[in-house]
Amino acid sequence: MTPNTYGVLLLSFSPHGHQRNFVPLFQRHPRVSIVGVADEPDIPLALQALNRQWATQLGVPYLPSLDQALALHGVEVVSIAHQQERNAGLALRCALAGKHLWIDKYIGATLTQCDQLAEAVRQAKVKTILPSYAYSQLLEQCRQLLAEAELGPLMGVHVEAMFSKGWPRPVPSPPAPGLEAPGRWTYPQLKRELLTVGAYAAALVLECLGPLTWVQGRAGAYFFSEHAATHTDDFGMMTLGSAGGGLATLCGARIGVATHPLGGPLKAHLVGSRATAYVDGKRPALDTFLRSRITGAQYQPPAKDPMQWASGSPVLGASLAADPTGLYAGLEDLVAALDEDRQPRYTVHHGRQLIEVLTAGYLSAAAQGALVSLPLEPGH
Amino acid sequence: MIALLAHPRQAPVVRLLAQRLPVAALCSPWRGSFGPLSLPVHTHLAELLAAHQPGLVCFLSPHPRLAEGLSLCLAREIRVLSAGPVDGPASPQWQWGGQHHFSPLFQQALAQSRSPDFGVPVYLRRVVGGGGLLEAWWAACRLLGEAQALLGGPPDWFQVAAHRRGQSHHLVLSLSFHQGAGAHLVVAPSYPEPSADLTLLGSGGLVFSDQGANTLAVVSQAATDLHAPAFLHPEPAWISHYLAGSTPPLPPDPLHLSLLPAIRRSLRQGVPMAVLG
Repeated sequence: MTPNTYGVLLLSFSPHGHQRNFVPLFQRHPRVSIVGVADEPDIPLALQALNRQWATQLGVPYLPSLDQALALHGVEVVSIAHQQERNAGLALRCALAGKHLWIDKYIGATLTQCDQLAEAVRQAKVKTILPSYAYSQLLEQCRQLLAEAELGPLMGVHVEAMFSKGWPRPVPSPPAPGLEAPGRWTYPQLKRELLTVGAYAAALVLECLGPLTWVQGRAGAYFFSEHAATHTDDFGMMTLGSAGGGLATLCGARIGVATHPLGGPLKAHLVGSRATAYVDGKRPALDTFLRSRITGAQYQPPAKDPMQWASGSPVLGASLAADPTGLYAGLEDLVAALDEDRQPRYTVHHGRQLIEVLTAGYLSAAAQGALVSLPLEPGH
Repeated sequence: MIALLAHPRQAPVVRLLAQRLPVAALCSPWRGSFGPLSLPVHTHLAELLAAHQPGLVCFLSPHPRLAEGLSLCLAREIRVLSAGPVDGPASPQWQWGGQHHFSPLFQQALAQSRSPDFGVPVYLRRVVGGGGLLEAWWAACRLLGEAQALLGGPPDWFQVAAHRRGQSHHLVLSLSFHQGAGAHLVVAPSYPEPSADLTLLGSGGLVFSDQGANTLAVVSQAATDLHAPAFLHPEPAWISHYLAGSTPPLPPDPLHLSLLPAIRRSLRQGVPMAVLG
């Protein structure tokens, strides 16, 4: 018997999301087919045009209303990649319609939204996956070491994640005091980078150390005038503690193009009582120093994508892993989960924990590193 | 002549010092072997002092009775150079710390960070090895010295978090400095010494060194052993410089002494403790 093919509705090509990165995965997977592109009616005209352009390119209908899209024949999974403030509401409506959810990075803007979605998903009994965190080479290699190396009981996890993207312009030094509180995440010209980049590190810490009990954070604008002008962060650092006493540190940042041979450091130290392990998430890689590529490199980010949300930075190497970000592995997990009637490895419930930790980091950073206890009080 | 006081974990640097400097003897009150070493080894400092009458004693490892050892040396007018803080009397006859100034990794990082291309410092991350409580404390003090030099210290916010499993201690120092730069200084129970692991981020770019890329590896069928290139150890130059006496002694950093009680409080309470700020 031929196995089912799962129809995927692409919900928004917002420039703040990564739908464009998901398209090749959905196209490549033999058990998945893209059946439509959809969005809300109240979005900016430029986004409507972008959505239509993608629908045309993919040869599927564009539906400018979610209700209409959810009624479309053959939609089993909705890939939600809108701006963070919209994700939870959209996901909730999809779950109530019985659709399985593939969600890009964040399930909501606030913990209240995240809790509502988690509850709706539980009741609707749909499958959910956030593919960005659990399947990357960094995490896979950490898992391998935790399973195979004789580290002793794990005492700490220390992660640095930075994107060598964007073209920095001078900002005041030291950074202007005052950091925008958590909750407002989306700006037309920037992303909050402790959230955007630090989320990968925080997910790794959570997987390795389990529930966290306290957080300290510091964050500010060090590279981009866009961040300085809006009191948002292009760099952030967090120190975290687990219920078992484990310690963690992380940093997340966008530090500007051409600052690292492989597009930005992505590293972890796993500290055990007997040994410490070191993992470079950008390796194994083949280093490449080809003269004409280096001397002719286009280091200026594209004018239409100054922060390089959609474009890569020039690198001096090639990953040896077939799927370094693990997005395809995530899709395979989702398909298997649908086949086997189980949940994928990383669901909205993990996504809710992640938002809680990052929110705590921002609360601390806004209070100059004050200790913030977890779990957070309701209302965040 | 020089006498050394060191834990067996310091065997590689002890052997290096024995080759490079006029080392007369070694005191090691701990169990364990230093491997091939042609030095007389004593378990009591008083015995060593009586037998060899050194002009300088170098404390390379901390010990709970180090303050006593210091007093003993000072009473006999023997100079002391200590790799970490000792709660002893102020005297021109002894000093602690400062070895990072003779580390090629630190020197290069400092030179790069002073380039106009580097911009202003944003973040420093270091991971080094410690061991027991006192060793971890000394390692943290070394990192603190490095961080203050690289980020334009002193810090205006300084927290320490500590965790232990048996004798293995793990410390995290979180700091920020008046220009806005931050730092994570991590002491793991085990890490190659000297650590070549450094990330220094400036507004103009990144200066970094990976442990794996800067270590000598010996691969056998059974295992891979990592060795630090000898010249990365700062101790020979640090001790030689002290013996030459060409610069005034470093003033002790009071943050170093206030760090140990903060570590102990964090171990008891399971949350970070303010050392400053």
